[in-house]
Amino acid sequence: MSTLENSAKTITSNRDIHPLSLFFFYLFVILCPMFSLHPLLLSLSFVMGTIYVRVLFDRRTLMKSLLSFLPFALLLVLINGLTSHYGESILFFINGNRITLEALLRGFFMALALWAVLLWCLTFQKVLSRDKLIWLFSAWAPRLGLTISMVLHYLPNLRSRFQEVHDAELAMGHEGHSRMQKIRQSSIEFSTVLSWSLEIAIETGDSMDARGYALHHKTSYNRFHWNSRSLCFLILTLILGPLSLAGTIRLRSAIRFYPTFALSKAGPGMVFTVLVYFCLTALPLLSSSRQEKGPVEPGLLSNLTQAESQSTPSQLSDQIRRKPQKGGHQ
Amino acid sequence: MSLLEIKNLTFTYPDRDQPALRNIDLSFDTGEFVLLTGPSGCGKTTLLRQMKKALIPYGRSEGSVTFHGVPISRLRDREAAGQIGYVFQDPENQLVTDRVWHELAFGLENLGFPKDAMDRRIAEVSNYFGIASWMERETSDLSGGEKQILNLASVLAMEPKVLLLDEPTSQLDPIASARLYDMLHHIHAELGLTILLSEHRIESLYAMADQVVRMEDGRILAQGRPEELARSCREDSLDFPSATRIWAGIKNTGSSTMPPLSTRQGRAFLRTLTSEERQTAGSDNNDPNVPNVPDVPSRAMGPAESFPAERKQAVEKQHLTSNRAKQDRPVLQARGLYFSYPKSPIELLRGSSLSLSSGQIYAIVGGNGSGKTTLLRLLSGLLLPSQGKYFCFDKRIRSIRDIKRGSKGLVLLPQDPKALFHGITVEEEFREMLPVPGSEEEADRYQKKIYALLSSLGLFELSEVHPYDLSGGEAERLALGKLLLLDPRLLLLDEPTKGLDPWNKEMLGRLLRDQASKGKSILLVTHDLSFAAQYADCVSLLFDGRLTPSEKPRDFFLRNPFYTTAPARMSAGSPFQGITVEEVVENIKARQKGWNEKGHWTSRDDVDDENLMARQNLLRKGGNP
Repeated sequence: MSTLENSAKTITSNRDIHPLSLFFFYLFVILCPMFSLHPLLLSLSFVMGTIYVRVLFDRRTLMKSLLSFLPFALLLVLINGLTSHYGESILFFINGNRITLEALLRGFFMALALWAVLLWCLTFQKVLSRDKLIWLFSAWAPRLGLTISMVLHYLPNLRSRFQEVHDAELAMGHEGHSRMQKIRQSSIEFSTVLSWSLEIAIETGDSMDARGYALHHKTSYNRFHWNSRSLCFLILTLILGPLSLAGTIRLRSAIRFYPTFALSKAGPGMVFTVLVYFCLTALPLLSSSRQEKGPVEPGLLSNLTQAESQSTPSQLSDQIRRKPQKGGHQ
Repeated sequence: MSLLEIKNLTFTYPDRDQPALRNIDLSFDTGEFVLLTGPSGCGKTTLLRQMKKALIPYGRSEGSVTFHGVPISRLRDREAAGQIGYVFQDPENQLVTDRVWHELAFGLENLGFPKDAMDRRIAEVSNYFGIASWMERETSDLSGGEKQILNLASVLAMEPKVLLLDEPTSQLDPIASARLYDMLHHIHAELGLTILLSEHRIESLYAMADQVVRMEDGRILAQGRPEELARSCREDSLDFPSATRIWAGIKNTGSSTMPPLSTRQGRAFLRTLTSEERQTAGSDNNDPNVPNVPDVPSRAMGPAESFPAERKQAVEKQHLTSNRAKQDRPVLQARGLYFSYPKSPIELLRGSSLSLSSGQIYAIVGGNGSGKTTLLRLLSGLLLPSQGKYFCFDKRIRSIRDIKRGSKGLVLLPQDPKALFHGITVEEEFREMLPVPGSEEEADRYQKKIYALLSSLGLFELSEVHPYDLSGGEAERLALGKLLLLDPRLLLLDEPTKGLDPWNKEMLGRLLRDQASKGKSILLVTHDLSFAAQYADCVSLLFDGRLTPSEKPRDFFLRNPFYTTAPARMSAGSPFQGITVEEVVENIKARQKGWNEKGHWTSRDDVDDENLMARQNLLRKGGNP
C-alpha cells in the first residue's frame, strides 16, 4: 500500500482533462454496472472505484465512505429478500412468505452495484469541480451556467445577512421567549432580510446592465483548454465505453438468479467485456500526470461549508500566511 | 469636440417637483481626470448616471448629454456598454458571479467576444492589476478593497474610453482606498483614460485631478482647475483637502499665494510659514533669551505651547468630564479577552482589555480584519470569549443572557443600518420601537417623543419616506434614533461613518457628543481616523489581537507618523502640530499672534496640563515664562 500512498502524493485529480472527456467517461463507467449484475463486472467496478477513491482521498475518507454505505447495503439485501419470493433454495419462512437464498443474493448484488456507483460518484465530485460541472450544465442551456454562478455567489451573502439581522435584533434585546414570540421575531427578521436582499438585487441588476447584459449574441467563457491528454482520454473513452456497454448488455443473460443462481461459463465475449471494462476504469489512474499534490478545486457547495469556517475574507488571507506549507487555499 | 458634453441639463425624478439637476453645463476632454465633490444628495450620482445609457433613471430631462456628439440615449447599446464603464459604490453588490475569472469575463461575454480574444483581454487586465493569482478564487472570499479592484478590472477588460466611478471607496478602509486611488492614477497616467470620479475622501485626489466640479443642491457651485477652485476654499469647507483648508484658515494673515492641494504641498506651505517668521526674527538671533528655532524640530514635543482661550476651555471641560468619569465606576470593563472563531485556527483577540466610563466616547481604530467587529460582538454579548473577564454594568458576563439590553442597557448599531429597518416609513420605524400606548395621553406622549427625536436628528421632513430611500447619512441617523428610543446607557457603534459624506459625519459627531454629555457611554469602532480625532475622548488601536492602552486623541495621533490624520501628517515636525484642521489653524494663528505681540518667540517649555491656566495668563500679560 505504501507505493500507492506514494503515488497518491504525486497523482493529481486529473485537473487538466477537459470536462467533456470526463463526462463521457463517467457516463459509461456508471452505466455499465447498472445493466448487468454479473459478479465479475460488479466486483471489478467496485475494486477499481475503491482504488481511485483511495488515490484521490485518504484512507480515512475511504473507510468512512465504505462503512457508511454498509447499513444501506444490508437493508437492500433484506428488502429484496423480504419482497421477492422467487427462487428455489428456501432458507426459512416468515409470515407464510418464503425467504430464499436467491433473493438475498440478488439483493446483495444490487447493493454491490449501487455501492460501486456510489464510489464512482465520490470520485466524480472530486474530479469534476464546480466550474466544470456548471459548464457541462450550461452546454444545454447557455444562461443556466451564469444563473448557477450567480446563485452560488448569492447564497453565502444571504446567509451572512440573516446572521447580521439576527445579531442586530438580539443586540437590541428583541428576542422571542415564547413559541409565538419566536415565530414573530423570525418572520420580522425574514422580512427584513428579504427587503434588504431585493434592494441589493436592484444594484446587482444595474451592474449587469452597465456591462451590457441586455445585449444579444452572448458568448460563454471557460478556462478549459483542449490538450492532447484530454483528446486521448476522450477517444479512448469513446472506443472503450460503447464496447463495454454493448458487452454488458449482452452479458445480461450470463447471469440468472431465479429460479436458481447460475452463471454461464466464461466465454470469449465475457472475457472481452471484462477486459474492456477494466481498461476503461483504469483510464483515470493511467492518465494522471505526475505532479505534487497541489491545491484542490472546491466541490459544488464548498462555498457554503467554507462560510462556516471562515468568517472574514482577510482571515482567509491570514490563514494562507500562517500555513505556508499547505500552499494555495482549499 | 470634447469627449463628453453636457448642455443645460435639467433632470427631475418622477413624482418630485424639485429637479435633481439644474442647468448643468459641463464638458470633458479626452484624458481628463475630473473630480466631482459635494454633499450627498447634491446630484452627483444622478449626473454620473446620465452618462451611462443603461443606467439613466426615469424622469423628465431637458438639455442634452452627448458622447462624441451622439446623445447618450441614442448610442448603440453595444457602444454604450463597452465604451463607457461604470463602477458603483458598494463592492459586494455589484459583483455578479462567484468566481474571479467569471467576473472578469462577464462584460466580455456580454459583448460577444470569441474565447481567444477573451483569454487575451483577461490575461492582460489581470496582469496589469497584479491579480493573476486570484483567478480561481471565489468572489465572496475577497476583502472589500480586493472586490473593488476586481470590479475595476472587470470594467477595464472591456477597454472603455470613459470610466465613471461613483464613490468607489466609500465602503473601504483607508488602506484599500489608497490602493484603489493609486491604480486609478496609474490608469489615468499610462492609458490616458478619461476618468470621472465622485468622491468625498479627496485628500490625495485634488492634486491628481485636472478638473474639479463642486456641486450643491443639483447645481454646479464651481468648476475648473483645482488650483483655481482652491482659492475659494474656506476653513470650514468640507469638500476641500485639509491642506487647502488650513491655508484658507490663515490666508488673511498674509501667506503665500498658491493654495496647497495635497499633504506634501501642505507641508511645504507650513515650512514657508516657519521660515517667514524666522526671516523676520533674524535680527533677534543673538539674544540669549531667544531660543534658536531648529530647522526641523523633533516630533517628540509636548503639546503646543500656546492655547487660544476657547481651546483651553474645551480642554478643561474634557478634563472635568474625564475626572468625573474616573470617579464613577466604569460602565464596561474587559480584561484579557481571548477569542477565536470555532473552526478557525487564528486567534482574533489575544488579551484585549478596555474600560469605559459614562459620558465617554471611546474609539477603537485598527486595520481591516483586525477583529474590531468581533470585539464589538463580544462586548455586546453575542459571542463569548474563550478566556478573560468581562463586566458590563457592574455585572460579570458569563452567558449571552447576562447583558442588560435595550432600556438602560446596551445597544449595538450594526455596520449596515439597513439591518434594523422593518417598517415602511421613518415615523413607523420609530413608533415600533416604543411599546403600544395604553391610553390616549400615553399615545400623545409617545408622539411628542417621536417628533422631538425626528427634529433633533434632522429627519422631520423625511418622516413619510421609506427607509430605503434615505441617503447613507440619513439612514445612519434613523438607525441611531431607533436605538436611542430604547433609552440605552451604552451605545456600541460599528463603523458609524462608513459611506458618509463629511457633512453627515459632522452631524453624527455632534449628535454623539450631545448624547455623551447626557451621560451615555459610547464605544465606536472605526477606521476613520479624522472622525476619531475630532470626536473621541479616548482612542485605542486594535492590533495583533490586543488593544493599546487608551489615550487622548491628541497624544495618540501625534505620536504616530503613519497611522494618523492628514493634518497631523502634514504638521508633523512643525511647531503647529495638530490632529485636526481647526487645531493646526489655531496653533498657527496663536503662534503668529504671540510673535506679533511680543516681537520674538515665546519659549517652548513642555506644558503640563495643570499649569495651563497659569501659562496662558502669563502669555496674555506678555511675560516670558
